[in-house]
Amino acid sequence: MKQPRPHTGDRTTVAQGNEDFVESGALSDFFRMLSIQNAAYISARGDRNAEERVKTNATRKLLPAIPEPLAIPELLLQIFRLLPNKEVFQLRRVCHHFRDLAYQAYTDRKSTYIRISLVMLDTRSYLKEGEIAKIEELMTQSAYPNPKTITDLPRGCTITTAILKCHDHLLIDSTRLAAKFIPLHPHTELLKSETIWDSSLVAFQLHRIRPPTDASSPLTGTTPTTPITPPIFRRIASTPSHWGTIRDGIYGPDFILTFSVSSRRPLFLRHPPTPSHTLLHISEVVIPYGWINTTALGQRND
Amino acid sequence: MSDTLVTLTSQEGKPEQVPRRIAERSTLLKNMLEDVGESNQPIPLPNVSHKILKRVLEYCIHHKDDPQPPSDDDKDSFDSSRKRSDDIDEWDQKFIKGKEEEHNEELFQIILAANYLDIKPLLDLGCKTVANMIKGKSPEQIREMFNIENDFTPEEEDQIRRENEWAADA
Repeated sequence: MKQPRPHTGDRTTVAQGNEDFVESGALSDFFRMLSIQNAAYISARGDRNAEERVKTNATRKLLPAIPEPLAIPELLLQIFRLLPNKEVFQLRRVCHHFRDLAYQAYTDRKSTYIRISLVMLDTRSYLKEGEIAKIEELMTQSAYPNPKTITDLPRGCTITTAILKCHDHLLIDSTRLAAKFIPLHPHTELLKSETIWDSSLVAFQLHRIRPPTDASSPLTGTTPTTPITPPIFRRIASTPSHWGTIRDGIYGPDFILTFSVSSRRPLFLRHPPTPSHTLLHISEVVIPYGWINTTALGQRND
Repeated sequence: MSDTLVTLTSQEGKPEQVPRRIAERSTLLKNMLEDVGESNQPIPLPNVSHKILKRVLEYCIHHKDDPQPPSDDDKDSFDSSRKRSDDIDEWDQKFIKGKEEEHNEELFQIILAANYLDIKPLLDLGCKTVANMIKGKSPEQIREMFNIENDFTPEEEDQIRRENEWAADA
C-alpha cells in the first residue's frame, strides 16, 4: 500500500472532483492503470484499432509459436496490406494464423477484383456477338493479370471468365454486377438485387426469371416433364473441393439466387433443386477462395 | 508547455526524461498528458524495455518536426492506393536495421512498442520492414525466418495448394 505523498503538480489543471484522488498520491497508480489499459482507454477516445490491442494478451497465449508482433492480427494485417495480392495469397500456406489474416487483407482492399465465371450450358448459343464482345471487353479492362477471351476456353468447357473491378467499399455492388451481366441473358429479368454485407455474408438475389419465348433459342419454351440436370451440376458435384456447398433459395413463385459462402469456400450463385427450363441460362458467379472473409457465414441460410 | 520535461519509466523502472514535445509523438502519451494536465509524476511504460524506449525516443527526436499523421478517423481505411513498402528514407532504413545480429528481435520489440505507444509512423516503418523481409520468400523460408510452426495437416496443405492453383495459373 503506497503512502500518501504531497502533491507537487499544478492543481489548477485537475478537475475539482479529482482533487482527493490526486492528493492521495495515487497519480502514478492512475498512470499505471492507464498504461496497462491503454487499449480500452484509447478506445474511449474513438481509436478503432484499440480493440485489436485489447486482444493482444489473449493472442500471445494462443499463438506461442509465432513471434509476438506477427501474432497480433492488427499488425500482421498491416504488414499484409503492404504486399501484393498474389504474395498475400501465397502466405496463406505459412500457417493457420497467416491464412486467416490473408483473407482479411483481401476483403479490406477497396479495389477488389472479382473473378466471375458465367456458367451456361452453351455460351455461344445464348450470347449474341455484341454480348460476347462486352464480356471480353470487361476481361480486357480488368487489371487481372491474365484476361481470357471466350475462345480461350478449354475444350468442352462452357465457363467464361471475366473480372470486374469493384470500386465500392462493399466487396460486391450487386446492382452494378447485375446491371452488367443480367442483360446479357435475354430471358432474365432483374426485379430486385440486394447486397447484404454483414462482415462477410453477401447475398445476391434475382427474382422471377421469365420463360423464353424465342423459338430459335436452345430453350424451346416448353416446360420439360422431367427435371433437367444441366452439366454444371455435374461439374459442381465432380469438384467438391473447389466449388464448395450449394445452398437453396426458393421463395414462392420467385426464383432467388443467393450468393452464399460456406466457410472459406468459393462463393457462387446456385440453382434451385428442381430446375426447369427457365433456369438453364442462369449464370453462375464464382468468387475464388480467399476473397471473402467468411467469419459470419451461415447466419442467413444455415 | 511543450518545453517541459516528461519522465518516462521503462519496464525495468529506469527513468528517461524527454521534452513533452518529443513524448507527444506518441498518441498514447499525448492523450494521457492532455487529460492529466501538468504533472511531474513519472509515466510508467511497463511494456517497453529501457533499451527499446531509448531507440523509440531516438526515432521521435529525429522526427520531432514531422507533421502529425492523420488520425484513423480522418483517413479512409479502404484507401485504394495500397501503401508501398519500398519508400523508406535513408535515416529510417539505418535506424530500423540496428545491429545485424539482433535485427529481428529488436525490430519486433520496436514494432510492439510503437503499437503500444501508438506512434503510427514508427509502426509503419516497422511493418514496411517486415513486409520487405517477407517479399519474394516461400512459405517455408518465412517459417524459418520467423520461427513459425507449420500447423497445417498434410490434408489442409494439399487443399490450400489446390485452391492456390488459380492464382498460380495467372
